Amino acid sequence: MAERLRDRVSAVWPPTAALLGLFALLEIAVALGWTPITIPAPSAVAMEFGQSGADLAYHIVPSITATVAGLAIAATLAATLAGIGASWRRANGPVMTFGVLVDSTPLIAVAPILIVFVGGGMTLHIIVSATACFFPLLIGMSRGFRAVEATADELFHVLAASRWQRLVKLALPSALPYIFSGFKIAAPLAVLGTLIAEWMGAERGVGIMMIYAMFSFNAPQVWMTIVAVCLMAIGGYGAFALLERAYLRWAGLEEAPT
Amino acid sequence: MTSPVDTTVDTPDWRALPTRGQRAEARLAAFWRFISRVALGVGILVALWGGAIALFDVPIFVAPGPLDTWQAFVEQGDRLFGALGFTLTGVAIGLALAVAIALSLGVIFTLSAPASRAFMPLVIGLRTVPVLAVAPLLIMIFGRGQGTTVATVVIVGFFPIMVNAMRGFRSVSPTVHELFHVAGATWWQLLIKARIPFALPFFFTGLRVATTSALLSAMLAEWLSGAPGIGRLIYDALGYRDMPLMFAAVALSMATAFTIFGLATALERRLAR
Repeated sequence: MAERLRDRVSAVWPPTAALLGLFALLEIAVALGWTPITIPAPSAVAMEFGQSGADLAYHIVPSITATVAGLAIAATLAATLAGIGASWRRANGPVMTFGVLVDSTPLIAVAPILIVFVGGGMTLHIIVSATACFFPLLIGMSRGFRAVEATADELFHVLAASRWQRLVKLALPSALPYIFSGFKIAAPLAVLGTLIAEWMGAERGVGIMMIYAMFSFNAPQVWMTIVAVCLMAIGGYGAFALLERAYLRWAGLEEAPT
Repeated sequence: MTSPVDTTVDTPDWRALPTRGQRAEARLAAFWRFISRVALGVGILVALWGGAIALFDVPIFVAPGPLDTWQAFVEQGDRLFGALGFTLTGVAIGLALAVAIALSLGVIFTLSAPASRAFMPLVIGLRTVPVLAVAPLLIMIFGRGQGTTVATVVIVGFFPIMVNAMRGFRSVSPTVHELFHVAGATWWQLLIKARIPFALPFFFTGLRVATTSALLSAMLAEWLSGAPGIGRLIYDALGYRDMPLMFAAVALSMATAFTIFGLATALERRLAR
């Protein structure tokens, strides 16, 4: 136990020291006036969090809502399509082609067409967010749905397992690792999708707050919103990582190396 | 007690192997099949689009039909391709810079264990972060021109190239490593003759990922900064409600994105072998 702790500490301290060193360097550079006005000291950004924290909270709520809704819609769609692809072999090719098409379409190019049809509100944010995170979910799910080992499948067949038992005891455990890794990639992308959609126009949202701060040349506030978005993305990733760990512990499986 | 060893080597009959000409023909046929399938898909899409516009009688300032879009494409072709050229220049410069920076940092991190231990977790952590979010900041720093586009492409392209190159540098198999050590190779020889050849497939994967997201990020940066690329053109057309021009620009940028994606994937497949 002590050894594990020591391992963890020795893995954590070099990046922490590097990060603190960079912060200190930046702080000194700003104090000496080396940096342009657009690069504020880390302490100024931290102060900005204190000063306009209420504003940030006001703007971040719809962003989180749109991200969660987008992720949920994309997950539902991906699960449906991957399910079709897994159960009907001939549909798999077109499903994957569709996924690649969606993935390589420049969002910024399609968004104006969407604006024409659904307007620039919450609906747009949710749709763009869902589009941004769709592809990794599709890949994760369609890999997961066919991850069942042939020998295990035969064993279940020989033991006359019911459909339900197959689903819960065979298909789900072998699919979940892939699905979790899909979600871990998709969550930050959904945040990015929401952000891009909000840049195009919103009443409330971190993206529009960032744009206003940029237009009023309020450098600390721009930095603050960027940090907030990054925290949202890390939070999304972390939530699914924690969920995965909880599941693995509950199922009594080894922790997968990340 | 020795059983007779089967000494026949399994040689394929050379007469049954496809000749180079036949192989090239097969590849050409596959290529034409692909082209015709794409043409069919685009044709169906355009027919659906035109049909929907005609059926619901959509006015031209909401959404134009394929014919109007084509007309705008022909009339304003210079403007469209000029803007596209501007964007692609930014993308190319940005990608070249990203490759240079990512590879030099990758080599440094591979050679120096302390630097790697201190900075790699930060780089990996930054990968979960949507780096495109810094675009407004880059506009404040680099102003409203090509500089912002280049900087955005560099920042977005840097991470996949570097992470993949690092993975490649590390992928040198232990036996090769030992052989080089036994033969008394210098770190330079190890780098040039073992690490870089081993890293190439990984590097091309990174480059493919970077290239496909580069166009999107460049267009996004232009749209925010107002530099005269295709990203800006789309939004200017939307602002003026010049829908045929907007649809033409969207179609052009999508076609460019698919072409780049296809080329990068094909290149990766050929070079990574």
